[in-house]
Amino acid sequence: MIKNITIEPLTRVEGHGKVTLQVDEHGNISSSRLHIVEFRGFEKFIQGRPYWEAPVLVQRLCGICPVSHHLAAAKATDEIVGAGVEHLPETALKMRQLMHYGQFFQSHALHFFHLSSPDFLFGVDAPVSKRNVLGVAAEFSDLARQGIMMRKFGQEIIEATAGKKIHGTGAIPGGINKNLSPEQRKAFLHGDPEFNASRMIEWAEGAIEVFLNYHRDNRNFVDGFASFPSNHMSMVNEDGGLDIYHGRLRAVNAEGEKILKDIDYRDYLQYIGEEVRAWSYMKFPYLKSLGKEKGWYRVGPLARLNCCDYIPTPRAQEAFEKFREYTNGKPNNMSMHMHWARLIETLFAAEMIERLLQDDALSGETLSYQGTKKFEGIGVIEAPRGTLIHHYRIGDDDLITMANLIVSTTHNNQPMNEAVFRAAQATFNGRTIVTEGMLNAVEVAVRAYDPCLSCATHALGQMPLMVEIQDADGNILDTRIRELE
Amino acid sequence: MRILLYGYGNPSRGDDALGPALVERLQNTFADKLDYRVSMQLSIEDALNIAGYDTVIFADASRVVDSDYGLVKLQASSQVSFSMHAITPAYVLHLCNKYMSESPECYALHLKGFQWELGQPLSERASCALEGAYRFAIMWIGQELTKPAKCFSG
Repeated sequence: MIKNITIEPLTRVEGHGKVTLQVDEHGNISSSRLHIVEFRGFEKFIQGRPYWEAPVLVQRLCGICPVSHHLAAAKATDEIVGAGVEHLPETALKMRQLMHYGQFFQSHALHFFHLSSPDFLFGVDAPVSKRNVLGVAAEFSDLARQGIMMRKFGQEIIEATAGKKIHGTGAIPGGINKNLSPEQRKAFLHGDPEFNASRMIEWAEGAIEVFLNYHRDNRNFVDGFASFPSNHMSMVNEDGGLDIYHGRLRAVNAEGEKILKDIDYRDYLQYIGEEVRAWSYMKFPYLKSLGKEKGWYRVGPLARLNCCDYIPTPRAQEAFEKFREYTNGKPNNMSMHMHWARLIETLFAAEMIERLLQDDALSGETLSYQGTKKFEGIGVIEAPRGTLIHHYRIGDDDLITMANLIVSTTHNNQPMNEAVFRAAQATFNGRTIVTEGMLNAVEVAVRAYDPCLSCATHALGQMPLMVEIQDADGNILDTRIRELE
Repeated sequence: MRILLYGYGNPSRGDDALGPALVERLQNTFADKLDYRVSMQLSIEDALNIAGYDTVIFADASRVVDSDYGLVKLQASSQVSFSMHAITPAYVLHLCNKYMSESPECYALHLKGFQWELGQPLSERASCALEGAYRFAIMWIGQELTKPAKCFSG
């Protein structure tokens, strides 16, 4: 009899993940499905609103990465006011970049220091009570505190550039509405020695060391866990270097061959399709040239480091060279190396923050530009979790008539399914009970991709984790709710 | 007496706006007698943001509270959810205790919400809950303000 095993974390009002594993008559897992309830009503919500509201409105989509949506929408509306990146005043461009690196820095810091580090430092077999930040704190208290301070630093950068941490209004169509004073820059650069840019660089380097030490002692787990070959896609700059604010779209296959050759992202519809599958609310993007079966790809830190040729800051470049050496220059297809890549990007963000803060252009006076109006705009940036696409059309009345958003977690839909499958397969013992080890493994696999499972609302009433086993007819064979304490 | 009123929720998602809405109303009433903070959701750095206060009141929409509103004194808790992108006030308090070595008295003021769709305004029933919570908070915070402040070293 074919049986279904369901792992269902019930989190917030909407936006929860559920894993169903199908077991065949021989007792082997034959397929897995990660169901993510994605709220798609947002595109409709924007329709009918003036285009200049988009950069502020879209921040309501997600409480986790509002800056990413803010900037992607701003880039799209730049085009509508005829102020593409080539026309954007230098002050506006650098203020936005600083805001974006601040967002990257705080998001990646949260993920490593408070979300995934327990998975690393204790492994998937550790008891749940240990696999949270308390466990980290008990043994690595400096790390946990540094995580809070790094997160705070990134938030302060966002506040200084966007006006406020949440729902900032910094970026406007065609520019920015404020600059950064020399005093503010100085405070971030040379202020409190425990809370300035150089300290952040130091801590980011320290985090990479933590990863490498763990990797050295646990190579089989880190290299083998949920590892699978795939395509990778990200934005790169004109020279092929890592750039998270602006560039061209590149994709490579598992062997490193370019399968999307630095295209203008405004042509994304020619190259990227989205498949709908009956069992998931979330679409499955793919490269049209390879088709639905073979065209899926990863985005995010691992993909970015697999696609780019270099990193334009010295310390991150040094770390990047070691990263590439490990796979002999070929793409790295190991899911847990996503964390390594994320930490290198954290260092890159810290270095870029320091570099930008030294730039007098941040204190310039020319803040915006208006050119010839257009009726369509596409903005793409690399959000912490991966490529983020915003696409709008407007009517003669300046109201938005069409909005299309492809968010990072959607790009990673199929890769997360693959990772879950591999993790579950490796830990399944042939019984129709979901073991603690399997549950942990599935969580760790999903968490490596840092998916945004809980968008934009958070009323109380969530449950921690529910596991349900069903047979082929949907009859529940076993239910288990895991309490965290 | 240093009091922080911290409302969180997404103002664009129906009754999830209850926390920020309560902060807005109380700000008009208490002005600079309190400090205020609003965000879409709580995060780990809020441990720093609540440090140094005698009392912190977290105001948030709730699906599960029995009455229109309810005030609960919080105990620090290390419980985290699957993704941990959103954390609870009790976890924020825990981080504050652990890393800031401070223990503000924290309360959760739950306001009953009913609808959560994007673009919806506050529902009629949630508006009633807001009104009730507002009146209660005026009275309760008024009493808190008369208490002597703790001494903080930092």
